[in-house]
Amino acid sequence: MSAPIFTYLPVLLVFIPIILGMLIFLVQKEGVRIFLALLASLIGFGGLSWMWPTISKGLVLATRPIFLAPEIFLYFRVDALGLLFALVSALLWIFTVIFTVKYMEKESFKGRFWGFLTLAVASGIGVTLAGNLITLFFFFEMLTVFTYPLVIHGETGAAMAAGRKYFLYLFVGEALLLFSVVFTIFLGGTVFDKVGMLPTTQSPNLLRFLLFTFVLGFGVKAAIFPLHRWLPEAAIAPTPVTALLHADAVVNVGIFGLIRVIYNVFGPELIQSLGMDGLLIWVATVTMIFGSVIALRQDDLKRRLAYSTVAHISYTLLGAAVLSASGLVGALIHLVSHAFMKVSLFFCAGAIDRGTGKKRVSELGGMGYRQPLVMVAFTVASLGLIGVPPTLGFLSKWYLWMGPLEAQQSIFLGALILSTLLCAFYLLPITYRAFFKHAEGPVERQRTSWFYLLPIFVGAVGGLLLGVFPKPFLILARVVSESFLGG
Amino acid sequence: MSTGNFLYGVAMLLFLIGFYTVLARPSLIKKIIGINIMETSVFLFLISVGSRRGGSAPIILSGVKDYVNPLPQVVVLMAMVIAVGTTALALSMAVKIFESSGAGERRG
Amino acid sequence: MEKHFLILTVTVPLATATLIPLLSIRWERAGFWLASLALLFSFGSALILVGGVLVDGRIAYHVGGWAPPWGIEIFLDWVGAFFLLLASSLSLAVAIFSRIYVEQNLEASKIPLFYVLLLLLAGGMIGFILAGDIFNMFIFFEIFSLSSYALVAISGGLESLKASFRYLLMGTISSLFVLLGIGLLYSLTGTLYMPLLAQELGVLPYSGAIRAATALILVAFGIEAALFPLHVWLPGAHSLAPSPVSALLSGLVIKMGVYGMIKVLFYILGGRGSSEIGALFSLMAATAIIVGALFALRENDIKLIFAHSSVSQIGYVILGIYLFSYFGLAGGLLQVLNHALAKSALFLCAGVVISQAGFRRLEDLRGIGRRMPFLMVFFTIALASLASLPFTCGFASKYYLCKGAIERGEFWLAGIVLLGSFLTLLYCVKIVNYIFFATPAVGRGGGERSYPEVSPWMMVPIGVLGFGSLLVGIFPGLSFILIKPAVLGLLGMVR
Repeated sequence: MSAPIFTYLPVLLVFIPIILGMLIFLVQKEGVRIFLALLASLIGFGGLSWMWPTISKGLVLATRPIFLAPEIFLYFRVDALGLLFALVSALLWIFTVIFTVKYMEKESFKGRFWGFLTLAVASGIGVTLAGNLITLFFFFEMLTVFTYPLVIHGETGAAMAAGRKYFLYLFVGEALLLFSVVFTIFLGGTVFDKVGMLPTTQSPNLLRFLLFTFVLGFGVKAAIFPLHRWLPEAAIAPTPVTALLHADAVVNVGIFGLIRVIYNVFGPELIQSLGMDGLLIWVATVTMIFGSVIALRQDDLKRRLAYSTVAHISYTLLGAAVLSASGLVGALIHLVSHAFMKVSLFFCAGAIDRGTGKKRVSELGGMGYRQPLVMVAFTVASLGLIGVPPTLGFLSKWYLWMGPLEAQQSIFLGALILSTLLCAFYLLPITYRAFFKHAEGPVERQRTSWFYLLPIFVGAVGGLLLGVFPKPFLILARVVSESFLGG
Repeated sequence: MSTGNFLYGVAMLLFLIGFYTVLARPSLIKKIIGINIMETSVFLFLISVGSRRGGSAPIILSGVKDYVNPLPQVVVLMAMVIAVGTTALALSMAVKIFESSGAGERRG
Repeated sequence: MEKHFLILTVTVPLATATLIPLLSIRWERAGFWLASLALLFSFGSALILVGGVLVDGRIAYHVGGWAPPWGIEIFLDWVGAFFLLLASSLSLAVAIFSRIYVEQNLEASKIPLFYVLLLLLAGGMIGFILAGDIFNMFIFFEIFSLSSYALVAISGGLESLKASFRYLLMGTISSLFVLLGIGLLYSLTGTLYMPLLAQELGVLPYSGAIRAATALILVAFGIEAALFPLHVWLPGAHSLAPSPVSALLSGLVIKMGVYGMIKVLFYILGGRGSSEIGALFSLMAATAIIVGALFALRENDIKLIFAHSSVSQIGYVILGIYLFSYFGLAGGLLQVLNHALAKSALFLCAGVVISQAGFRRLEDLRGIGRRMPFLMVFFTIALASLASLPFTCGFASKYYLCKGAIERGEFWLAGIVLLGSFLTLLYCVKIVNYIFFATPAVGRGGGERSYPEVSPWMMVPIGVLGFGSLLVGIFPGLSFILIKPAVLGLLGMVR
């Protein structure tokens, strides 16, 4: 890898939104709050897109280490992997803000909501731009902390229970993660500047143990089976928060951490020589099948989508864990595609809920008549998630299927196909019911606000367009796979 | 058994008696007495550390060769002052506790 | 020149304490003003002294001009400077906070007494920090212990009297252990002056008598530091004392036990027997971390939660010290700083709430964050620091402790540190949930409770502590100006 280009832009990109987010708490006027939140998201996205041309050439941007105390320093380093995740977060963040304007209109404590939303996504971007383990851990934990008030925003008993579960799972994960981080630093690695920072001379069992704690630590956030329980519970939170959890930041950041661990901390060779790649693949496969099967049985729309996330995020893990170039490209593209589609699907669910008060799949009969545009977008997004050409989902699955073939592990190809079929089974009936079943009781057509429709369509159509013109993300994914697996 | 060791033994015995009293007796007054026994035993110990068989008081006089060590005595003097202070504080607290909880209940 | 401040920083508070009762006869506020001025003086001279330490490394003052081994020496080095700065600044903050608090919560006749005791407590602690021989350490130990027993009981309630009596019993036993240990050490070496003592002990074989003396003194300081299972006096005393006193007790007084342990382990023993002592005490500290946090999690009274939490947090400090390594000691000292700032800010905030609103159960705190936002922001900063979230001092200290434990290959201790901070987080979130994320409690009239304005005399010390906590939290490296040479100095004493 070439030497990084020096810049302090990443610091600004993370801390300006954080400062704006803190300002939101002091502001009383709703308009100003929205302005600040939107400004933060635009600054984030603008800065990240400005970096794209440099990074896509395979270069790396980095700050100098900012020492807070001996061994504890902040260091930002933007490489293709980080930028890819950050761009997805920042882009969807803008539309989450737009959706939130209307969705939270009648809620109380909006100042708090806007503030924590901004802080949370900004910390998520901080994780992706982090250049060493300590910075990554700092923003990782801040993301958890700032998301907690959003999850319990309703302050009802159910919300508090979901919050408790969220909290218990994630913070146990973070304790394990801190252990792994300290241990890795003890073994002599902290900066993500090479593939595999750990000394290979350590005893294999110690390294296996370290990988295990890392996988548990990040895996909680990435909702891998059996650590996924908090994610469906958190579906009780307001829709923008579920979008944040499933697509903008939280789950993505978990899988991002796992990719960093597999490639930057351990490195493909070490993982293979430890014989741990098989374990990761099996974990991903089990999660994939398990999430899909549970999703089939859910009647609550948001919970069904949540289990679908459990399944889809582990596609990414699978792609990353087969340690082959197309697998990794597929993993990253799938993450992008999933984020766009899932945001759209959740926003649809939110719009349906706000428009008609329906939350269950079984109540959705006639919804195609009541909210036609929403249901059209829902269908497009479903097809994208299943992977029908020409969506981005198709492209990502194509690469993902190549991965196990390259690595000659065709049993996992079977698992991928099975899970895709299951995905069709749990998503398409919703469309079918909405368009071809009659509702119980009177039905009138509803106008859906543009604040809802714009983000919904950006997600669905964006996924479609990216399928035709995948260049922005595909180039980044290729750069990532070249730098990690040598082309 | 030499005098020194005998004194140490007595000091330890007293210390344990006092310690037992503080821990085992529910009555506040007895606890304070236990504390005092412990204090006395420590003083005894300190004095015996500095003592010398046949030594006289540490004042330079003609014809005296052996003096006892004055430092432990100073230490004990200071410690006694503190002990008196502690006892006074403990007793006043005990009185307050008796007053507030009624004369019938004399347990801490 | 600055060495004269060594003696002044101790004597001024102690001498002022004797003046207060006299002046209070005529002048109602004499207590507050004299105490604040004396402590301000102590704080100022502490700053000068720390400046001197930064230049010279160690400054000493020989009382009456007699050099040891005949005269009494008081001295300040890096470790002492760290504790001295904490002690003088926290006592000053508490004295200023107390002005309104004691007027609202104590009978007028007790107010001068309160300040007398406060000054004795502060002066005793400063003297304890500066003492150069173990007997003077004992004397100052007694001075601040006795005044803290009296301060716990000052409100005169039956419960606080009982708690204070229990504290007195444990404390007296502890001080007698110290005296006995001192006697043993003296009988072995014939000196009380610490450097000489260390020298004499260094040539003696590590005999049963040295072991016994060490054990006695360490257990005694363990009682003072509320190390599990010697902590039984702490929850009652800390939760029933007036809140400013609780802040001092939790923030400083228990740290004096830790300081005493450091003195014995490094200054006197020179790290001898560290493996056997370390194994036992780190086991006790690990138990303290977990058990204290579990008790805190179970409690419902806000001050009791903080008191149990102190048991847990002091466990971290002691664990760090008994790791006997650079990172362990640095983590331990950083935790001293973190806990001192955070816990005293928390107790002061609790004091405001209890004093202004009159309740201390968690249910009653519902929605208080919306009524007293600024106070509760500081409260939350302190809680975050306790729970070792990123960008707080707590994170840095837990990181170093974890690193120290891993360096020694004791993974389970690293696990305990992290489990403990997870449990801490749990009870902190429980409190935050009540404060910010619950519908406000309903007052007697049926409407929302009203909360009186918080006086600036109370807000300023809390704000200073909160900002201090924030500052050393974001830049823990600042405290390493003192901590790094302190730790290196301590490790340099290990033979």
